[in-house]
Amino acid sequence: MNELIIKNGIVFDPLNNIKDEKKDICIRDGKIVDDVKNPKILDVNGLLVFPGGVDGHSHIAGAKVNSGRLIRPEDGRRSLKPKTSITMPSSGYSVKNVFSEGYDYSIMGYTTVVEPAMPPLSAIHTHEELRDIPMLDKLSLTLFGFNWFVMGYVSRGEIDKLAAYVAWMLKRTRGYGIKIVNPGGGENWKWGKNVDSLDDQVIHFGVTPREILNDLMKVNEILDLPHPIHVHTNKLGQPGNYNITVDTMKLASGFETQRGREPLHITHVMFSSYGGENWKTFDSKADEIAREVNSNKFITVDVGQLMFGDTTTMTADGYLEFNLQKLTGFKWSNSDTELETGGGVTPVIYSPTVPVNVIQWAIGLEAALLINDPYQVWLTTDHPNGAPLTRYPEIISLLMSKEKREKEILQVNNAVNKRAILPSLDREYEWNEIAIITRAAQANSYQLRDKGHLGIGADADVTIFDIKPNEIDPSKDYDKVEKAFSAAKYTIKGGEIVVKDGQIVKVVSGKTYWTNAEFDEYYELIEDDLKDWFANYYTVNLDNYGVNDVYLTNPCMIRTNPTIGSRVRLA
Amino acid sequence: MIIKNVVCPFCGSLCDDLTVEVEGNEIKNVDNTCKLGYNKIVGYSHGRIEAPLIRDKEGLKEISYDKAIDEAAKILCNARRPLMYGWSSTTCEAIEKGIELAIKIGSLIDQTATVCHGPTTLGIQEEGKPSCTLGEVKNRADLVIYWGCNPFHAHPRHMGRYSTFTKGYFTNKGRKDRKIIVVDVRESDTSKVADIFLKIEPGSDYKIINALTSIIIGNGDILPEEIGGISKDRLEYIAGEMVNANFGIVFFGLGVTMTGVKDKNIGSLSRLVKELNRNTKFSLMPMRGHYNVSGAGNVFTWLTGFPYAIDLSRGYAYYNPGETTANDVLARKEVDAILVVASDPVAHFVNPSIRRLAEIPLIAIEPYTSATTELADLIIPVAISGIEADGTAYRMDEIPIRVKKFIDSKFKSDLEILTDIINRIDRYE
Amino acid sequence: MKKKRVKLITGRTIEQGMFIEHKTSKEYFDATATCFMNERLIKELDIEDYVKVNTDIASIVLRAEREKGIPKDLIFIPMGPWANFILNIDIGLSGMPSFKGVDATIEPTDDRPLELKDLIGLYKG
Ligand SMILES: [Zn+2]
Repeated sequence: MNELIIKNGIVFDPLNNIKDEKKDICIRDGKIVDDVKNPKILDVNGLLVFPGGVDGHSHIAGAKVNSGRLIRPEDGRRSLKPKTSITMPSSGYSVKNVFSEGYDYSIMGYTTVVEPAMPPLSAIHTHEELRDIPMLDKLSLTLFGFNWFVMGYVSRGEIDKLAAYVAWMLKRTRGYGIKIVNPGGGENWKWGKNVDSLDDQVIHFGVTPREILNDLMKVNEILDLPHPIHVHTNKLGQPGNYNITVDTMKLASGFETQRGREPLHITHVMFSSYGGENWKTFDSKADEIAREVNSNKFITVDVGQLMFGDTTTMTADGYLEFNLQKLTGFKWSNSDTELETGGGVTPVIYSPTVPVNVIQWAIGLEAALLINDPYQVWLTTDHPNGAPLTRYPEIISLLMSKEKREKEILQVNNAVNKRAILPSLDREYEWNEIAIITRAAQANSYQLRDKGHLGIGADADVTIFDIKPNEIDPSKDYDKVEKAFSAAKYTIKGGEIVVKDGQIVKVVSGKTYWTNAEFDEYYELIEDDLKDWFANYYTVNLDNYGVNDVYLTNPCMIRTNPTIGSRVRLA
Repeated sequence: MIIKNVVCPFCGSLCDDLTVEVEGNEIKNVDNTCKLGYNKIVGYSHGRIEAPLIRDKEGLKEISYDKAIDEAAKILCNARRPLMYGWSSTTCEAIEKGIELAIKIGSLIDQTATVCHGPTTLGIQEEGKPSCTLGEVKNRADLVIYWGCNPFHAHPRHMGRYSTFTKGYFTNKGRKDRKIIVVDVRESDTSKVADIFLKIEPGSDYKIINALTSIIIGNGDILPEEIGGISKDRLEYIAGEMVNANFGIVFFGLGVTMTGVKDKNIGSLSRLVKELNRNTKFSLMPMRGHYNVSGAGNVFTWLTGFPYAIDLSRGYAYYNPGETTANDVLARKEVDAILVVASDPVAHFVNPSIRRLAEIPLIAIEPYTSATTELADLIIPVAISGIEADGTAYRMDEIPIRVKKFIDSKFKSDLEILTDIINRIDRYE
Repeated sequence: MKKKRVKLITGRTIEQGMFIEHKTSKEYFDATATCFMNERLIKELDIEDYVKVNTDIASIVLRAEREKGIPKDLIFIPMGPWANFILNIDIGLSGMPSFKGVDATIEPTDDRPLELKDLIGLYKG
């Protein structure tokens, strides 16, 4: 038996309504328990105790990430760290090697991370990298937004087949849920074009983004998937896109779910909250977005906060990357993937002197500050798109301190005063709210029952920060907040102390979650289509397609209860 | 027994539709394969090295496997500047193990891209890589350009399966739906099936690529009447074909990476493709040679941050092609021991590098007698990945496919041998 | 003896690839210890069956073979130990030796190409 007790911490555990309580936490064999007999004692005397961090959207593995590393040796050279007796060499600032990704998250107190964009055809690649990332439990979302099977079934109204296909694909790719990037528009990009509204047609396929979103949202529910459909909106990154974002959010309005979670998640909403007609008239519409979120309980968003400095952008939205590259003139990679998806990568420099970048920076903070319910807005940077993951501590200090924001506002281009509303916002996040947006909300949205909280039976993933919440005022002591969140006093993963005083002290290998939503005869529904399309249009054989468990570290299958199956028969 | 959908462990096309007939533990026949794959698979049992060998004054003599692992561990531990080289014809799992070993002993590690598409890497590190998967080409491409490559010889099924003769969703007439352009310095079997053959002067690729870019961005008037042996009129015609294509692709080979300004050629090709995307859809793809050279680049990159030519002697990854590339560290006589896995550098490196290979302890993990085993001091025979060992390989378009094992071997795999060496070194430490 | 300046390129051929795993075979020798040249070049130099190719670093004897599509000032040697014996390290800082477009001279010879073992033997000592 392996027992540990964390004594005298000030605990914030929002999912169990524990807030600012001096409370001991007992751990046995990797789980939180109600008492222990012969534990190792960790007296943390008044320090801040959170559940282990959960990042619900961070590009850490797979073809796009590796292509970012490949084209950016200059980024790789930025954070070189030699091996130690227990750790492997690290490289990279915005595009880190797999070891560095695990270590850097763990040092900041994170224990679970979601890779949100897995191309099915290269799913093995995503899982090979996930397997090699130490310290973290991992999930990945499979890309469906402009897949030919999806668009075919949507156009023919074959919702049962669509459900069967999604279930098959999640199993075949060991994916956790449905990711939709630029629905329909990605297919048009394969001809160098895009879509402009939810009702634009996808070339040749005769479907619209609205239909794709609606049907996948239905299928998500039919299959009882743990996570909402996870949507990167159309026109992302373009001035004036807030309208289409609000339209997309409204698709979920009133859509009740069995699991009692929202049916739709809008990711990195900062990039989708733009006003103006072009980059000259560009302004913040975070208020419009927040208004919709505050009145629509059927959606969650994550921030996608932008921070000044250089980083690498990467997305399955190839059109977006091409256009970004046209503005910057930087190097650019594209990766259209047959029948399924696409993607692009290009570096970017966000400058505090450039009006557009300053407004983008403000939009993310505004969204976080204007959305009332912290369970509806997770903290992300869309690593590395808005900023590298190591910038989280700074963002937390900005959310907790108006004074810090005011100080920053003085340093940046004046556009922030004219075309954003950040300067007028007084709200300051509390510790409990920070625990929600970095842990509880994300665990809840992924329905990871053992994550994001410290109740009995939860995984013993705990972070202890070197800060005494009752002795400091985060709105004044923001530097201390930033410092504390940069390097955990302790990170405990599965009951083991893996970080102490901001240093990795033990290297562990996490679990990999995936969702099995099979139902009776689901394969028979789609077998002919799969065989036909693989034989004629794919370049990889159906038999050689997909991932098996040899690629997963400690695989954890989540079984769902699809409301379809034996009762479904082909007409 | 008939085994279907076998993956061919020869070239970067990584065809996964082979049918292999196995009887007992022997291969009786292989279908759906080109001559290259056929010879490798059917010939897998010929000329194998049967036991570990060590060289002394009289020549090579047999030793036990255990002794061979011991000797390998000793050579690597005693070296001050070891190099680990090869990797393109084994599985990603073995490559990962190789990098673990390199990190452990603080070695240089390089892979065959260093004498192949290394300049491609440097070119795309300048300009990026606008690309796609081979199925995109199959389904959409109406203009296919083969530049400095000869798939008929190096990738014999590429044109049939992916890029020229195949039918796809938007190209249901196959070859008739596509225009084929070949650019090369000499006629080849590939140029014979082209609609247009541009026979250019050796080393003029850079000029011609940039001339095409100039025409496409509207600066054609500054060009002379003839460039690299091609008239300006003809280049304008080619540029027109490119702009008017609905979906174009440039496949390029060693004719571009090894010639003239090398990496600059690739950078300028990438820039040309970028400009074309303002008008239409265009992609670029290197014709990777060995079946898993793309996997080697990928594994190197996610583990260390860099794709090849890595020096781990400082404890972190130091990457500087031209300095840390295998031929450079050998020709400078820095390297004092080498481990070769799944490659034959003595056949494919240049004279000054091989002279150094002849001077230093050389360990070869290798199934066959090769040019490298002629110089090796220690030879450890190995199972052939993709025939006698399974694992992951990456196609030239970066698509991972699991290669199969369909023959039992008495030899260990690259992965197992490297694991044994690591464990032996652990025992010494 | 007649001598001529040419550009040397090396590269893959299907025969070279077919026997790449069998480097000591006669087939591999035939496929790679060979120099492909334009017919007119062969005539001009009175080359019979064998040709000697010289570069800044070394010389090698190869079997001479006619090829139609190759320009008169170019020779092609399939990649492999024979071609690479006469190739030098590059100063281009890309880490890539020059395998194509190398300056060379060629001349007729009565010598025969070395077997692989003997060729590799030249690197020793
Ligand atoms: Zn993202």
